[in-house]
Amino acid sequence: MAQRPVPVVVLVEDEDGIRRFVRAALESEGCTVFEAETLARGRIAVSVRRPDLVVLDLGLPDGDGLALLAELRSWSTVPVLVLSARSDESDKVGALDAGADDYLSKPFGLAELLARVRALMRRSQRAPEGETVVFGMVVVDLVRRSVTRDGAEVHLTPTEFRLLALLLQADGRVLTQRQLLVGVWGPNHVEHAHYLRVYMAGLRRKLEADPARPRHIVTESGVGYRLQR
Amino acid sequence: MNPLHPRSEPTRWTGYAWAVLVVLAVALLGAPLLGHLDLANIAMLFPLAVLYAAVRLGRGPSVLAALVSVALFDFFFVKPHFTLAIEDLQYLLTLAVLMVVALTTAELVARLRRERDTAEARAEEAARARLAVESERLRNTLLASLSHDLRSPLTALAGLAESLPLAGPPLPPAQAELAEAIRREAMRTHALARDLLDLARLQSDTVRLAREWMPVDELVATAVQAREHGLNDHRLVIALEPGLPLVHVDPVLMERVLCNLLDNAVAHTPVGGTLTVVARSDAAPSGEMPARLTIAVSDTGGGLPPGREQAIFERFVRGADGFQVGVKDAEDMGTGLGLAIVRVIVEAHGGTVTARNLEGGGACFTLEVPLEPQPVLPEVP
Repeated sequence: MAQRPVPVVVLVEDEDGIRRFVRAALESEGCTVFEAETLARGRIAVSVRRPDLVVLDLGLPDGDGLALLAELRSWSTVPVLVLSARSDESDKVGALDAGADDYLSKPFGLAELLARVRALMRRSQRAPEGETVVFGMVVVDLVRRSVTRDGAEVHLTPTEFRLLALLLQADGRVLTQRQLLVGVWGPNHVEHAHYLRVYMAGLRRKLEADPARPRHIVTESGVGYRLQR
Repeated sequence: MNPLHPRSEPTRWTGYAWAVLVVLAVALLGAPLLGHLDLANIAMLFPLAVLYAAVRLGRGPSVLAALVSVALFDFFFVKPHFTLAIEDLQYLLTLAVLMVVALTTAELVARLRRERDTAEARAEEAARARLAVESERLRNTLLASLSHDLRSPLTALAGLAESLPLAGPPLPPAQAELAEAIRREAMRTHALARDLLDLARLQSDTVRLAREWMPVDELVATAVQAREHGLNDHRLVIALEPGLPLVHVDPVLMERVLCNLLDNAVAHTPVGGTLTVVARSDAAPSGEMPARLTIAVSDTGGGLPPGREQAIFERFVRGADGFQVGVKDAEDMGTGLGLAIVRVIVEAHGGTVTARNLEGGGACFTLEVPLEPQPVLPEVP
């Protein structure tokens, strides 16, 4: 979708105080913000305003934000940032598997919020990349399927390369364990989370400068992984 | 006396007295019938008394009732009357049958009673179990909604304080400091509420671990990453034995354990100090004992108050130096529950956690969790 000069954000959240400060933060970034405090109003707002970003709370008084997300995904690819107040990781995973682009756990700070919003806006604007992707000291040639770190060739196994390619495709978004397992090993292997863990550890050893303190291949505890440039 | 006798049973002697009285009543009832009814038919009244005694009074009184029945029947009804002598030997059979009926009935009733008691006990147990499940579910729902209901307003409070400068011209330094203090307190309140609710949930008997196979380096890396901003003022040394096996743990909870130990080490170590995370596996000698994984987090801070090395795992207990030393980011620290949570989680995994002072100064927290037979990995590299 082509970005309008002033990005439009629909904010669906029932807590008045949260709406106020999120609105203030987004406006300080130059966004126009439309608020909705219920699922029903949110449904109308996203279809009328055609936003560039939706910030969606999951626990709404008249229903689950996931319902709105599912409807939205049937006709739109607008980036959705989910706000989650539950301590359980499973609802974040559920939201991501249902098509959310990213999530924030309450309580979150302004810096965190704005970083996520900027990343989502940037991503939806960015033209598809060429055949090479660079992060840190690592250069990945997606066509020749070659990887170098600090100029030196790195040998990746076919599985490791598929995993890396998926993470690069996601462009900084979190991928859930399920999404990664399906993408690399196929739908029959969603139970085999340890495959993913073991290969991810291998990838880190080969690509991270200090695998014990990874900077790029980041674990989102209980949710999945993201690749940070 | 049979211990399984009914709760309504009269005391020992009154039971026997009642048994005798009932048989006497039957004998009195039968006396006028003598001459009108066959003696065999009159004899059939006595098992009724025995049955009554067996059902209402228990086995002992019923046996007594049988004996008294036999005696009375013989004494009053069988010729010659008013002696225990028997004229016609066929009445011996009647007496024997009466005795057998009495004992069999008593035995049957006792067995029925036992079965009834067992069934009742089972039903009670089932009801108790159902109640436990029900209250556990209620408790978890309550904790979840409490956590949810606290989280939203605290998010608003912290966010509003942080967004004060966005509302107008830049705040004077004193006001900016106040706004930051409000935000920090909101975050601290959140941390306290989170820890309390987590502890309540973890301490319930039905805590369910979402176990997954995890490489140890990923556990450590995720915890370090989550605490990255708090670790900037300390040197961090990570020494993981190469080729460590996978551990079968709840990753979210285990990462929490490591985060809490890191928080604790940071809080008690002056700026510039060193934190060390070491992991190793103790190989099983010839596979007899299950091998264990050991992770130790140590610091170069003030150490633990001597003699209190285990007390610090209790709730709301802090080290002697309080929680001010070296604390940069108070948001996630100082609730006094961090180490209690560590212990609950590690023990839920069948592991142990201990603390001790190091010889050169500083404290060392060591946790051990059992290792399990390793899972199969895919063949395609």
